[in-house]
Amino acid sequence: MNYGINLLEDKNKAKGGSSSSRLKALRFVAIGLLFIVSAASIILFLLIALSPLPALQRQENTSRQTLSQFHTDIVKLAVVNERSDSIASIIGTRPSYDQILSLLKSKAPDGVAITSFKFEEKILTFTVSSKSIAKIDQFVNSLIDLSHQRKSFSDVFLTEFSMDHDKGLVLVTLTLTAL
Amino acid sequence: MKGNNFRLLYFRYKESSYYSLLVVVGIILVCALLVVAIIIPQLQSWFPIREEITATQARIKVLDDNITFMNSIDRSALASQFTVATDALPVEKDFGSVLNAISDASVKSNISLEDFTFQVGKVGSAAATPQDIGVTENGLPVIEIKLSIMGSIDNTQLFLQQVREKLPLSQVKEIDQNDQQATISLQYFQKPLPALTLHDDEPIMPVSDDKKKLIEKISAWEISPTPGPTTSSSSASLSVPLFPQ
Repeated sequence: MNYGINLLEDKNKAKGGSSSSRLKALRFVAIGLLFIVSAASIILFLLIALSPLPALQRQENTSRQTLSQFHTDIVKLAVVNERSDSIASIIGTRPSYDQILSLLKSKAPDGVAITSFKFEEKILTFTVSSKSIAKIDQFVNSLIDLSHQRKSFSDVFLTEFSMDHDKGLVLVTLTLTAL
Repeated sequence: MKGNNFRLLYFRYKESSYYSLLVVVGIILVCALLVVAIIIPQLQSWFPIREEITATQARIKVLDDNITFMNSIDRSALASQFTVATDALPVEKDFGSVLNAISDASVKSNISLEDFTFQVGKVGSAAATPQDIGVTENGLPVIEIKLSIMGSIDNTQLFLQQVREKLPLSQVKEIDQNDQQATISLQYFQKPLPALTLHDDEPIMPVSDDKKKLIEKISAWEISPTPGPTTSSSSASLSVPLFPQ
């Protein structure tokens, strides 16, 4: 066949040459995509099939069942912890009137006696008696020193001063503010 | 006839470039569809699975640590601590323990108990507000008791010390002593059990050393049973526990 005369056939042959190269490129792309999809599918399948999650979930359920046997003791622990906080708070904040009384008695010189006292809302009012005003003065001064230290109480007020002539006693009423 | 039409079309066009093009384009489209519809969603679901695996491993570790810890604790010591803690702060208003504590303190301090009154409030009600049941500044319900006692200031001081070192826990609200007679206002604490929600995958908190020492200290404040009657003429009129424990 003389392809040189038939211009239409030459054109067709030229066209066929460029379209076949495009087709080849497309074939490569298609094969590449096929390969990628196959590989990705296989990899994903293996990842999901070999996932440790179901085994871990079974292990977690087993551990929870084992721990459920200790629930009573866990509750006791929680109660002890919770109550310990409240106990510490109460013991730390409640006033110790017996210790304040003991402190006052330790500061009272011989011959000075506490005859009455009243504690209310951290205010202590008490009456001391003695045959010696000097000893009462000594006692009051020691209380003032204690109040300056601000360890047990802060203020000292002398609210009443009287004398019992029959018994020969000096009676002094003092008010302290406990800390 | 239809089948023959397809066969005719196949033999007519199989040598042409359109056939190859159709096949290749078809493959590309199917692959693209598979990637978009299946591969990418599966890949997106893989990451949450990885996170769930990590979280599950962490929970298992906490659970195993909790199991190991609970296997190692001394149950008898825990039971003893629980008893002391609930004796110090009873779950509900326990009049027997309160009266026993007062009775024991009066015996040891050699004072005479006169009369006493209770101020209880609502004993317990789901509808009662904390204010209805006499809550203190510490936020706990209390039993208030007013006592009249006979004794010297030294005996009263000892009584106050004894009451302070007894269970259930108490505090003196008011005291008025004049010569040999005193009126004391006491508050005895109680605390209902809290509403506990157990979370197994949270670490269990052990009792700290400070709390153990505190519990040990106040366990010595428990009233020992059966003190005998005293022979002193100025002894308390109540010399044995009212409610043997």
